[in-house]
Amino acid sequence: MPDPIFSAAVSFLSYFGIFSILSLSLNLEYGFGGQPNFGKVAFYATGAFVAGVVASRLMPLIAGIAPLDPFSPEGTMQRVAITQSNPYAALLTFLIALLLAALISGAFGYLVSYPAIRIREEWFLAMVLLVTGEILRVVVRSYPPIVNGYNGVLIPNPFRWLGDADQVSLAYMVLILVIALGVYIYINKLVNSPFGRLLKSMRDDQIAATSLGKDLVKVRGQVLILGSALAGLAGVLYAYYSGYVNPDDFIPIRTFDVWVMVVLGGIANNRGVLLGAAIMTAIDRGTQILAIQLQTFGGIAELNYLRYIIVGILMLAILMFRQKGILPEKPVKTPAYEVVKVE
Amino acid sequence: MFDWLLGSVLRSILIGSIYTLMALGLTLTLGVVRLPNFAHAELITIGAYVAVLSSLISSDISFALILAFVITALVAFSCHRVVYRPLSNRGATMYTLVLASFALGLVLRYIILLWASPTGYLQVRPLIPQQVVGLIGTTVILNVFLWSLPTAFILVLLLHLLLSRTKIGKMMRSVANNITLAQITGINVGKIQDISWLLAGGLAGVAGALWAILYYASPYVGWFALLSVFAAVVLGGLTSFSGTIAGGFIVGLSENLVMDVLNRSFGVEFTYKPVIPFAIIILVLLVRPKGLVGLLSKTRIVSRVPSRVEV
Amino acid sequence: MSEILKLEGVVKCYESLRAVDGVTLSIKEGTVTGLIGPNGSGKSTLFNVISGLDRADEGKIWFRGIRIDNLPPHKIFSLGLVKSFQDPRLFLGMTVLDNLLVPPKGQIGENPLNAPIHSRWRAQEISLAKKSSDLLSRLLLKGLHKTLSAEISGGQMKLLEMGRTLMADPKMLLLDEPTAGVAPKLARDIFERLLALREEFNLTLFIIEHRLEVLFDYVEYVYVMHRGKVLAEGKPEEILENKVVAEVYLGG
Ligand SMILES: Nc1ncnc2c1ncn2[C@@H]1O[C@H](COP(=O)(O)OP(=O)(O)OP(=O)(O)O)[C@@H](O)[C@H]1O
Ligand SMILES: [Mg+2]
Repeated sequence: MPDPIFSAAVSFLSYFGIFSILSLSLNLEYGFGGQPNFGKVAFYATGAFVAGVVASRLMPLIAGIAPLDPFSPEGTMQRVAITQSNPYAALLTFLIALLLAALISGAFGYLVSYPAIRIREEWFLAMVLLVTGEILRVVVRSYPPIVNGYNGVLIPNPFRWLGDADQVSLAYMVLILVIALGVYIYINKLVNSPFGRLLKSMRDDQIAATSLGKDLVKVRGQVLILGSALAGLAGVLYAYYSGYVNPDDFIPIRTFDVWVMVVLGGIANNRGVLLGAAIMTAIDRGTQILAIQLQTFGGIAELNYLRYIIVGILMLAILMFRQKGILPEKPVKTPAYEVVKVE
Repeated sequence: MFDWLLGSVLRSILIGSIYTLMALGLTLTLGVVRLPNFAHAELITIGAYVAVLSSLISSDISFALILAFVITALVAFSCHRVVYRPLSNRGATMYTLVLASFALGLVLRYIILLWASPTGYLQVRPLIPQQVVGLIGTTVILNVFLWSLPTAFILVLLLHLLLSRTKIGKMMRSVANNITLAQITGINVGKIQDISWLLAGGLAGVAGALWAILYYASPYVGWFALLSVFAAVVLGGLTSFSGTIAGGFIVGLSENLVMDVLNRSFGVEFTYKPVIPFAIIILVLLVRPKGLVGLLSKTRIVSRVPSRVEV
Repeated sequence: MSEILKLEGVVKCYESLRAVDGVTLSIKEGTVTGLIGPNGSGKSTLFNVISGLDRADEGKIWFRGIRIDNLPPHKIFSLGLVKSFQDPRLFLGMTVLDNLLVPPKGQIGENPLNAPIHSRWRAQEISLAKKSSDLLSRLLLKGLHKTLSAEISGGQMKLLEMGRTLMADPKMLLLDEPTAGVAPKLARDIFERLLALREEFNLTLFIIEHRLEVLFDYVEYVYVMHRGKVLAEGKPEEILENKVVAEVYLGG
């Protein structure tokens, strides 16, 4: 297999998996629950930062080696050495990072659901969340003890011990896709249930839902915990994929990208959202590869900017001409429909 | 010895007056059109670049400001006609409008980048000579300083007169209070919204131009200022006129004077500066969601959007 | 017959307007009571206050002996007091059947921990589905279960709105103009069905209604509101003879 095509395919599928988890989680929050999480990137970033902290501090301890300064070149070399020789430590660290990220991001999500109760203007929460994400980035990039500030921290792939670079990225890609598939199945089961109905009722009419006995403060908290925990998972996967935790990766446009995937594919349709994630991945990777190719032939680096212009125009086009997205919403699929049909 | 203090206060006032202009525009769209316009940032940026480009023709500052007002007003108007109004006519929700304004801002910002980057306009000052016109202690007073405060003052005054003394201003206020009622009483809501967009854009443009003249223009100036502008608006109680003015200056003071004090006395690094407007927003949210309104005066250009039943 | 709902001096103000101005009333369990009054007399506001959607500024409210004027709407609902809306507030993005399946209390699958494990709530879901299926045919909505609730007619929306309240196993229903917008013939039909349901489930009904000629054939007791106050109360025939009521309301 020719090398560039292989690596392009692996990178496409890896990103697709990560984007899928992100967009499915936003779909849970917004598509089903009507909670406009404009701070998606904050929870995604939290996952990545947790991965950075766990990989740089905890892994030597798990491997039973005295840790070196995690941000020094020696510390980095130590981590590489561990992942090369100790599959157990590498994978266990990764697993702990996943769990911890889900936990911390989930708790953070709950925290954010709280002020929402006080807010009357709908867009206000949107702005606060948007800003929260940006502030998290500013603080983490300015405060070195977490992930070495804006220098970031290198974290080696948990499959490094496989040796061959292609095999490592392939194995990691498979892992991402398996987790993404798991998330897809989980969310599908979660929303095709009375809970899914509850979410949609909150989305469609909050006043009617409360007067029909729904404790929306609780539901809002639940859905933001779940959605944020999933975004945290995606953050860990991304951090290990890129091998480098860098606060400046998590700019507000990342949030916007996820929104594009959801709105494009179809609000409250999980399959549609996967389609949206695939289209977004294609644009993201496609322009990246194109820009690099063109640059080697003397094109201008600014072609990268086209990506944002395309994504922005795409979003405007959907909002103006196809508000429901590509795939339409479906009824909540429970056994109730079999019963009513039979009679 | 306290020269830094004087410089700091001066900077606070200069920046505060620019924030005020930016925030008043945002307040107008928020009140009259019910749109938290995230693309307001790019209107500011466009104003900044208009100042840069106009200085190629003439180094007259008033020329730059007027041109910035007119061009940015037209851009804002086109955004309204091409994107926001068709969306609203199709019954778009608030979230849809927020997303659309974010998307529009993104497109504008990166188009500016696409142009500015290869042509060397990534960070430029207008070709307007800066002259020292005086000294206070060792603090230098530049000619351009003398433009920012008076311009802001005059514009705020004109806006105030427009809103309180003219027919159009009264119509704007009634549209902001209750669109349906305004329609019933025969107000041409479409026209009023057009005018509000022209004004909001013009104010943002002048603010951006002033920023460029004082500091520089870059594709990100508006985006970087947006957080502070939102903080000013939130502090002002979202739609209050005097509240927004106070909000603009308070944010200006906090980001400069307070930041300088924090830095000198507590060693807080300047990289944390963006946290200040954020802290203001969160604090207002938790302590006094109404903002400064009611503390200052009861007059507001518009009343708050009627609240929904609290859940 | 014991008292199920009691209000004492309830006041609700909108800025300077006293929309509900010191209402005291009491309703006996199992009865059908009407609430009438000219437009803007505060009827809907009173219902909103009772159901907790709006908070009373003054006064006390008891439901089955429990003070409810400080409870949030969902708690009041769980005590068995359920309200319908004057303008139907359906979940417009959901199907007719899904609308009916939202209200039932104690759904196991509403807990996100149980939701993905369908076996935990399957049996309950099926029994709720049977109940809604039954209700669908009673409310003349049979065959529409898969239709989006935004796509049914105004009259059908009204019926679905009522069906939704019935799915909640209520002890008492507050119905805000249940027959507004439906054909006159259907209006009587709706009342017939309501009374049948009352027998079956031992419901207490409190109904706002402008169609007095229909209402008075079915209710046992009537309250008349005017400018936020209770102007008169009594049996339908007494109300019909009341001169003051005739002046402000019936006479126009
Ligand atoms: N949210 C609100 N804010 C301000 N005023 C309100 C509000 N809701 C109702 N009102 C006012 O309170 C008064 C009572 O209204 P309400 O809806 O309770 O009347 P009603 O008796 O139900 O009338 P109708 O028969 O037309 O339904 C009216 O004058 C109305 O304008
Ligand atoms: Mg009413």
